[in-house]
Amino acid sequence: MPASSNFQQAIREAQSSALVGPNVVSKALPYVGGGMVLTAGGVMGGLTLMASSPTLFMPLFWVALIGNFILFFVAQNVAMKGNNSAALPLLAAYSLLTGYTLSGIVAMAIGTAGIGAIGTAALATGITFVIASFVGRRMSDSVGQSLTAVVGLGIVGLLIAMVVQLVGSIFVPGFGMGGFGMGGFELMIAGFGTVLFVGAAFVDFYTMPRTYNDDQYLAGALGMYLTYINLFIFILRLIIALNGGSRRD
Amino acid sequence: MAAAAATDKKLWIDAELLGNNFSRFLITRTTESPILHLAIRFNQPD
Repeated sequence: MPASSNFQQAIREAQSSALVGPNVVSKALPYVGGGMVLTAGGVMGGLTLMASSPTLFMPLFWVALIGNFILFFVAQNVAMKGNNSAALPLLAAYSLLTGYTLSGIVAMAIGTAGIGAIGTAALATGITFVIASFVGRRMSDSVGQSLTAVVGLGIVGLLIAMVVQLVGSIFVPGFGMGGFGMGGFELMIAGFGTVLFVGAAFVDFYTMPRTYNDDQYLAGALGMYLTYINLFIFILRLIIALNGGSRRD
Repeated sequence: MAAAAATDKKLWIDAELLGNNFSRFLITRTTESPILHLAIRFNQPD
């Protein structure tokens, strides 16, 4: 029997069995909200720095990006072990740095579609959260497991498409810029990503109580936070692509 | 035997959770690269 059968069986059993963390979602939600607020603070800091000292922005961007990678792995490992007092400051720093590194796309969205784009993306993300929190918790096992599998496969597909876009931008002039300029490919990625992360928002409410125990609420909060950050980013990318991307200049 | 199976199952679940979060993290990070590319292009003198 191939090894993947054990894996799939284990996931199926975990998902259909009794909840391992019945309170993990309610414990995690305040930290997801806190993470989003810190990220907004990081974005504001990045935008302020971009306007006041643009020469300082890029060097600090690289520092923040490297710090972000390190913090992600350390914070996730600590949170998975249920060591929440150690994980919390790490996750707070991670959220803040994520905000700073995302200020580029926010600045671009403001430049392309106006400040309303940020409000639209934030509102759409909030509405998705409210609907997902009602529907996701009440999904049957068959629907929940199917949606989990579809979202899992979709994320792999999206990652491959984004790597193609990234590599294409290095070797083919205009391709990655393409990213935003060429419309078609970027529009496809942004649209697919938006649909996918709406699905992921529903999946999170279904899988979290079945996979994380109550002490792992910060690890669960990190997963949920990543879903909403990605949803927000993909809505912004969609708005940018629909508004013509880099054609603004 | 049952304890070993439970440990095995937990390892699989943890691997799945780590993989899920990591792929979402990578997607966030990959988004920034076209942005970065654009920023570099905008910063170049005409």
